[in-house]
Amino acid sequence: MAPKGKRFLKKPTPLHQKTRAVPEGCLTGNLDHDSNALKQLIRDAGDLEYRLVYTQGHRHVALFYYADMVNLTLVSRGIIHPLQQCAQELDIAHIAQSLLNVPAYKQARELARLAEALAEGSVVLLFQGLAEALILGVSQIEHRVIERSESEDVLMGPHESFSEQLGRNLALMRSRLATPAFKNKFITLGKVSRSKVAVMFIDGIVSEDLVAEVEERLLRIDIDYISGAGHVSELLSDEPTAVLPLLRITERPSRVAGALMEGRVVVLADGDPSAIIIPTFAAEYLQSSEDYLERPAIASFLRFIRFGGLIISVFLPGLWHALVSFHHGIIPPPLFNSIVAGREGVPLPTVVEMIVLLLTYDIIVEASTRMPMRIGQALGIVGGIILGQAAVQAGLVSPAMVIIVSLTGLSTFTQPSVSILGPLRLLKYPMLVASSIFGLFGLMWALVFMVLQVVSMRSFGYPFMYPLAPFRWRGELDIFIRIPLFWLSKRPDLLAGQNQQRMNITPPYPGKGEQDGQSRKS
Amino acid sequence: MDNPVRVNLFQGAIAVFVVTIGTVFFPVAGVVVPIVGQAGWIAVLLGFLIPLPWVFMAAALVRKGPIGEWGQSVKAWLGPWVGRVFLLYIAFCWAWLGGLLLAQGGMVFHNIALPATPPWIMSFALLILVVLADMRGVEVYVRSIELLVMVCLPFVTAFYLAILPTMQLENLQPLLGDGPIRLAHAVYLVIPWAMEGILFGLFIGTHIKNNKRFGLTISLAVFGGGAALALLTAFTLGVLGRGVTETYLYPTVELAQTARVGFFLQGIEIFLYPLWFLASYIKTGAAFVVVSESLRGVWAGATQPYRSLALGVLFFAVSQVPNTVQQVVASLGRVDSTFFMAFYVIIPALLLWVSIARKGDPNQSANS
Repeated sequence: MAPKGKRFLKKPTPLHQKTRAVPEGCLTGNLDHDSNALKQLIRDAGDLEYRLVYTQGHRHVALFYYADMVNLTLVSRGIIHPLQQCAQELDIAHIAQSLLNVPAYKQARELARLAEALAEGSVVLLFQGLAEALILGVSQIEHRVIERSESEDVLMGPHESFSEQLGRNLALMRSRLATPAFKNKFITLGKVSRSKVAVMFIDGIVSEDLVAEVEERLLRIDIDYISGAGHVSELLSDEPTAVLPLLRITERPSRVAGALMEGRVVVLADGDPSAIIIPTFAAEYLQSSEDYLERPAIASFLRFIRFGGLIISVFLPGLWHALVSFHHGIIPPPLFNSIVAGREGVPLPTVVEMIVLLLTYDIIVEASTRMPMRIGQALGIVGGIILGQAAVQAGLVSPAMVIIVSLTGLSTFTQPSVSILGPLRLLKYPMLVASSIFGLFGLMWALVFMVLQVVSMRSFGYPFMYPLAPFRWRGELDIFIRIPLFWLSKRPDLLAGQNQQRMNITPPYPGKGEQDGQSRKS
Repeated sequence: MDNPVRVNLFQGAIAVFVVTIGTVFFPVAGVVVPIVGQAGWIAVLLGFLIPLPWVFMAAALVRKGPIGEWGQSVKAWLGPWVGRVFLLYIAFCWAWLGGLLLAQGGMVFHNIALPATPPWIMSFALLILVVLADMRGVEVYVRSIELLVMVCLPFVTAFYLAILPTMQLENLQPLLGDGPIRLAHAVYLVIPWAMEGILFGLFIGTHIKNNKRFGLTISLAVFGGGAALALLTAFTLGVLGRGVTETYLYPTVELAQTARVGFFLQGIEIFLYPLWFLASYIKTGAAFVVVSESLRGVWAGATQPYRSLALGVLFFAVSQVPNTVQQVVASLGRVDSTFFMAFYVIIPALLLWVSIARKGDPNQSANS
């Protein structure tokens, strides 16, 4: 026998079951009945507006909409006013086509479909005596305007970034790729959130297999709620637990356009300014959009700095610890003596001292990232300079260690992509731990372990380390140096199998026979 | 989606090149110079030049079997049962070599860098990486080599640039003072190193889809490895001289100690340790992968990860047999001169067998 009192307690129904359990049915033509059924279906919705309109022809029409999701002027002038003025008995198609002044309409008879349309920002009209309703597309949801990208800001080139509105983002892409070959397919994800996701590609360049794979993986996602691209990218990824981001996320339409033209697929989700580039290769995290606006020599130098920054940010703490603690024979005695003198009185072992300092640095970075810009700057100054100086003066850490940790921290932020900063901040710790156990041997062990991990990773089936492994001369060159554009006449061979040629230009060298200062025309 | 990329010819060539050099770059001068003196580098060069026809024989063999799996190819050449025996022999040779290389890797680090750490710990650490590589498959192992070669390049370049100023050309004279007999003896000792590269090339060739230029490319890779070792021998002789080179087991370490790179760093030989580590991983990994794939060909029931783990135990057991570096070097010499040298007869015989006995049945697949 069930204990007393429990019989009054109903087992809570999971949300997804509730949404499935809503009464489904069709319209009957009885306005009161249909209105009540729809209200019952969308119960507990405080922002739902319901209004009855009486036409001059004595017909009753019920309007349903969410007040903050529709263009109220259009509702008033384009829907309510024409309905009130209508004296004839028109059928539903004529009402939509010739009476109402709205940009888009659909007809439906299922209550569930009407509820979904309301949630998307449409106005639903129910008519007395008609077992069919009109769904009118007059949604107007306030969104952020197009702004500069904060996470991928550049000095040169286009500054605009995506916003949270999918339609506007697609329009941005259409303005950049004004070709009918630019395709986008919509998929709805999230049983509750019903988020729209657009799969974009360039027909004729992209591999059809890749598009099919993206669609298949998206359709396989069975989830209640999708918050945005980050959510989707984890669900799409070949290895969701990998430390490195196997799918690149960007807010820049220019980068998305470039990716599409290389034969990739890009996924945009409604309500998120981020786009997912599929597939992604590790080397791309070293490349900045500005590289191709700079002179090749300058851009190559900057890439070299970034590559050096990447190496330093991961390996320097471990290497320093290995040299100072295990292989100090490599350091000349005067220098080693000064390092030892700096450590005099420091209570912590070298490895603990370094881990504490690195963690402190990461805490300062995290705190200043979450603060408003001005407070963040002040926090950086207080945390970085004052705290560091005070720690050295108090004898808690050695000056050399502060220099190593600062250089490591600075090097991390040479990377142009925000997505790679987190992994770089994390990876230096295992390297340091490995070197603290076995010195250079441990560091090399950790390096080979990491190499084995990254070479086995795949981004949508494509090797993540392409064009380093598997090696490709052309692609390889464009990682370490920025080669002139006329050498990049072909798309990455792994991506664009058939349509590889992207330009047919000859380098604009001056004619050999021409004299200096003499133009070709003359 | 199917994996768009498998092992390609370039990857195969890089792997063969690096496996050929392998861990030999440490003792190479110490092996040939005591026998043939200043002509040591010529002996190394000849030792890698003479076996080149065997590369083309290996290429001809590769073309006669299915592509994609080593065991299937061998069984297609020799039939299921003789093929299994051959695979077992290959596995035996490489397992012994791999175990000794594992021991050498740990002992060298113990002797020159971490004297407080027992060598078996470092051998075990190395073994973990090798087992991991085998579990991920041949493709991942070959890709890891590609990436690690790029890591090695700056170290190698820095090494040569640092020792170049101390080179004395007169140390290379007289060139052929020890006579042709001793030169032939030195060449005989070098030839098995080339055979290791050729055998690995034969193995990797069965994974390469487009292998039309396989013979030429792999022969370049093997000879390139030999040329790099000959250059290293010449540098060692030029910098240390014959007398000093003869006295060391690993003259390359002594060579590195002569380098001076200014006041900030000294004892630049420390940067040889990463190279040694990577070479140990690559060569031991090659042995492990070949043994693993051979056993898979012998018995299809040997599935992952049990195969790799069992082999790991075997390799580790072999690595614990020798107690000193001298014993390891002597054992490696014996394995090379007996088992790997035997392939100079086995490969032509195999090609002859496949060409004659299985003529008219070129597409026969392994009946396993």
